[in-house]
Amino acid sequence: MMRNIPLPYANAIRRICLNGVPVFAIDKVSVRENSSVMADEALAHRLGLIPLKTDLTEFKELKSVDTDHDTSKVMLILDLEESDATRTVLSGELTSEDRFVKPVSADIPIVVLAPGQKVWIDAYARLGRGTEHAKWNSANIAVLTETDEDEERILTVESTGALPPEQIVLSAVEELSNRISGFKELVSQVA
Amino acid sequence: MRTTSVRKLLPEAWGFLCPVHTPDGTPCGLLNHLAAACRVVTSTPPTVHLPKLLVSLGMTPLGAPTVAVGDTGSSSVSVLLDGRVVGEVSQAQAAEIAIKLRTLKALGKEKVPSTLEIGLVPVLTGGQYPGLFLMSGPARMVRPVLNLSTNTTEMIGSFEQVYMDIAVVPEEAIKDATTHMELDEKAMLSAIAQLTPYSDFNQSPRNMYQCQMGKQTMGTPAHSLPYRMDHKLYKLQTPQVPMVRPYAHDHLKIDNYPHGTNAVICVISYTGYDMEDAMILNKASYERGFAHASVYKTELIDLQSISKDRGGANLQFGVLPGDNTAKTGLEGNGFPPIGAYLQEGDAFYSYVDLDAGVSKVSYYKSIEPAYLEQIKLLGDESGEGRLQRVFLKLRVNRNPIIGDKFASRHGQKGICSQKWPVENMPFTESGMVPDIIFNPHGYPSRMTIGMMIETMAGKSAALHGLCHDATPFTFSEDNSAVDYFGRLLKKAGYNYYGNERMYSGVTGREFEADIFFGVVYYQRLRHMVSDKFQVRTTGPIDIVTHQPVKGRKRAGGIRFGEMERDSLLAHGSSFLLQDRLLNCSDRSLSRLCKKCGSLLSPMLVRGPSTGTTESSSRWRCQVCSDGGQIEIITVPYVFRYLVAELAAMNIRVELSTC
Ligand SMILES: [Zn+2]
Repeated sequence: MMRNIPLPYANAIRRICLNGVPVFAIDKVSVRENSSVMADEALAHRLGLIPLKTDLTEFKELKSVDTDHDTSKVMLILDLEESDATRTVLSGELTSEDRFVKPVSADIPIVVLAPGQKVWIDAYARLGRGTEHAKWNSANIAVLTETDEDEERILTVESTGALPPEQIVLSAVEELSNRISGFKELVSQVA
Repeated sequence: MRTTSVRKLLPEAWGFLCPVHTPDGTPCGLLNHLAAACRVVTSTPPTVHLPKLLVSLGMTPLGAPTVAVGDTGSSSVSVLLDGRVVGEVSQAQAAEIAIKLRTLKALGKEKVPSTLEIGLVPVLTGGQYPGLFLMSGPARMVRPVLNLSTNTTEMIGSFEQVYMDIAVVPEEAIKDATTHMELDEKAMLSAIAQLTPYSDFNQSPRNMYQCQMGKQTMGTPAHSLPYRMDHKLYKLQTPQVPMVRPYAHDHLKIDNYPHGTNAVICVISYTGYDMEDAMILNKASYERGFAHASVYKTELIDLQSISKDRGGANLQFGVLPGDNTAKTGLEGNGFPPIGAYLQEGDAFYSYVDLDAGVSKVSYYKSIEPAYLEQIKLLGDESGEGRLQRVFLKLRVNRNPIIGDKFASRHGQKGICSQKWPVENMPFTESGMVPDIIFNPHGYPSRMTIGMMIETMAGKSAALHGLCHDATPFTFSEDNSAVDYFGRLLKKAGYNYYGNERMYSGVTGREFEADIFFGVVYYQRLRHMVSDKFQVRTTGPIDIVTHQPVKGRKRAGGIRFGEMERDSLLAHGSSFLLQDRLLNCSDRSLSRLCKKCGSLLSPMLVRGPSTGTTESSSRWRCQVCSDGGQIEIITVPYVFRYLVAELAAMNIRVELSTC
């Protein structure tokens, strides 16, 4: 609940909750082997959409992944044996090199493998923002609704699971104040 | 052909040809489609026993002694079987025989063929020639109806239909007259027309448009993709099965071939980018896979035909041991690895001339990048010949971009005009954000009420976890569709009419009006800008005129014709006019003799050879004795060409230089 907060400010927080808070998502994928019916790029796209638990303290944001050098990336591997029955590959089968950054749920279907099909993939996740791609959206839902009281609004945030909703809101407020101070600095440079 | 009579849907066509599934415009009513239940007879059933059967029913056979028909005074009519006269019968008896024969046919008794057509033409003033016409042969259209006297399904033909009494629904049956009934109200529609949900709510032309567009969707064209080598095949990578589906959808098992996506739509004029049938796509929906699709293309590489061009060289796919394969990315067999990403100019395949011992690499030419999906090796008939031909199957990514075409199943097509960021999209109180923004101006003139019903039905289907039946002619005035789905929406805690309170994503302010919001199955159509855009700065020109060539494939221009020119003249925009017609076309510099006004007479004349530089060469007029006065002017190149052509006809063109 927000009381006596101007609408533009409250809405800015809502917007930043959606896509202004960095979270982890798979960004670069090396397909070593893929004999499934799904095209490589479609598989990579599905991997990218898996929400990953995010730790904002340890990693810094990158513009793109340098697979050889960056330290602020996390490698996840999907290396499956040839399946002997038709089965669904789930997100729990991704092994992460980081003990914290891993899929928020182990039950997200990735691809269905028929007997004899195989998938072997190296994936690299990095911090990013929803403005770049929806896979980095920190919240699925961020809604600002009005109440009967004057100047009183309710901000509802539904997280993807990457970050707890409270942290998304706190980070959003911090992000907004950073942007405003950044803007202040810009103006002072011009003046 | 301007005549309308041949295009009409006549009584004999009812139930055989679909009244909806025909194009609008020139071929309307001439290009028809069969109704879904219509069958074509392909076999010739035995009929030798039929004349005998007819006699037993009361027909007088041919050649029998003439018997007085009776004192009724009515003349007799002929009985024809497949165009052959087999006997005659009195008018009253003809009707009796027809009914008896039809009963036997409907019950499958006395070996009467189930597809036998029993056309009884009564004596009518101005009617067809009377008689009992029986037809059994192939190449006739037949369709099933319910025979009310036997209560079995009977196949009837288009000739007999006109003389039968068939009711569509029980309520319209006339006592002692109606003998047959339609199996189904929707039986008159073609398979594709039956796939339109709630088509009975739509304005008729919209259903016709949907019949055209239903065939242009990107969907699931086949399940045998690895075994097919189509020239071009469009496939949706993220298809869904519709939540709102007519009977035919299940009956024809369309779930195995899904061709769209259940899209959350919001009917509102929101950004100004949704005018004139444009629609706005939610950028986040797109990024999460909305309507992602691919085009599969196949290229045939035939070494035999290449060899023929090169004088019968002995060719084989592959690279030479010394070749730098790392540079080209090709493997030893002469092809890129499966899954390779090919861009314009990348090595595509390589072959070796075994006689000359040299290899040749061919490059990927399309500007559109593609993935190598599959390589298929082709042998000859015996399977023993050398490998000379391969199919290279490519997969081109065609995810939605601005300019791509979408349509609901109600003839409501639209072009994606923007991918709008999710934070700017309007949202409901429960946090729903539309995938597509549909402009409300699309409704009043098109009157696609079916789409509105689908919006409500889709929404309630999603809320209750159901699939709704969208078969036409199931609702009525007393049992209205709006009320049915309105109640379901209300039960789920939503507004009866499907409206929602919404907020602007940009300002966070609540809209004054409630917004119609629901779920509609959207189809992605295969008309894409990537195949159609035409753009040119400079490029190839015609050799004769030096004007830009035409044609998209050749990187040509779009003609700026006379009418366009008139328009610029009317606006007085002379700078733009000169830019289009001269500077961006065939502007050229030419020498002119100012004295005699000729474009052709200036010539480069070599002076006495001094062996040093060309400083001794001078432009002189060949006509003026004193060498004239040469100047360089700007002219359209075609004008020079025209002057030369006229000169060839002995016409001199003189430019006035005042
Ligand atoms: Zn001259």
